Amino acid sequence: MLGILFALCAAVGFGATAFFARLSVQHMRPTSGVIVSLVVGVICTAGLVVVMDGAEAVALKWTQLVLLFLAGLASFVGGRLLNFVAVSKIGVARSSPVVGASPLFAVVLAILLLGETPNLTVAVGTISIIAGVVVVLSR
Amino acid sequence: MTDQIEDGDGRRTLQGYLASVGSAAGYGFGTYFAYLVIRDGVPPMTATFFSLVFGLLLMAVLFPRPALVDLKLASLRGWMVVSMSGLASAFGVTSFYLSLDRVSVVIASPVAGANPLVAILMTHIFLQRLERVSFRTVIGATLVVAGVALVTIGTA
Repeated sequence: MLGILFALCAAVGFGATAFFARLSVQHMRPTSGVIVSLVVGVICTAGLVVVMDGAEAVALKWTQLVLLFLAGLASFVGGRLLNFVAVSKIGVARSSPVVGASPLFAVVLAILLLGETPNLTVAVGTISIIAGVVVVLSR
Repeated sequence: MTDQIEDGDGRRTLQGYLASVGSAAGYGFGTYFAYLVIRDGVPPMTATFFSLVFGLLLMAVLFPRPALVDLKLASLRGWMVVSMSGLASAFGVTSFYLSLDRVSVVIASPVAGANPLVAILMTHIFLQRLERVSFRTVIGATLVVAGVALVTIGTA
């Protein structure tokens, strides 16, 4: 039960991120908003890393650092910055369902690069995501 | 800077949707790279921290001047709402990992994946003066959230 409660908290946290992004682009450019939000994120997670992971956090290999660099590039310079730009252009209500389709891209990469095979459930889910995005985009 | 979202501005709308798709792709690719690192034995919170640090460094290098200008001119309210965005994101990530520590990803991911509905609900309640939530948007978001849940269950 506690695990589901935490998952609900995650949904609220991620949803609130887009909501506050909408408010923040009224005061500063998306680039500046992303930088401030990242500074806050780094400060918050730094304490948690020390408490939860300790020495494991400083024992990373070069290959892992390269992958984390790519993750940072894709998630924050790509994902979060474009999310702030989208929110400033079309608002939260219309951008968040499209941005929420991001697992689709992760699954496509896993299929293409890791050779994972999609099953019927994944296929139905993929169709549902695409249909949802089409419904939001159509006017 | 941006106030009421205008429904009739086609070019602005197209840019917004393209940015949304680009954002989804960025988050999706980022998740894929983070997945590779976590699969290699790196704790999820450590992975999040380092990807945040790299993201911050890249943003600071790529956009130093606009950020410095904005940060000097921003009001206290501006600083507060932007900081709240960062806090909300950190709260979301931390809650998600705490959830994964207690229940399967098959349960945690679909529940957390309902975040577009939360964003739409918050917008409908608190931002009515800035934007309108249409029935079509709610239906589309529901289909996306259901699809994300199915994809998560199917890949677990």
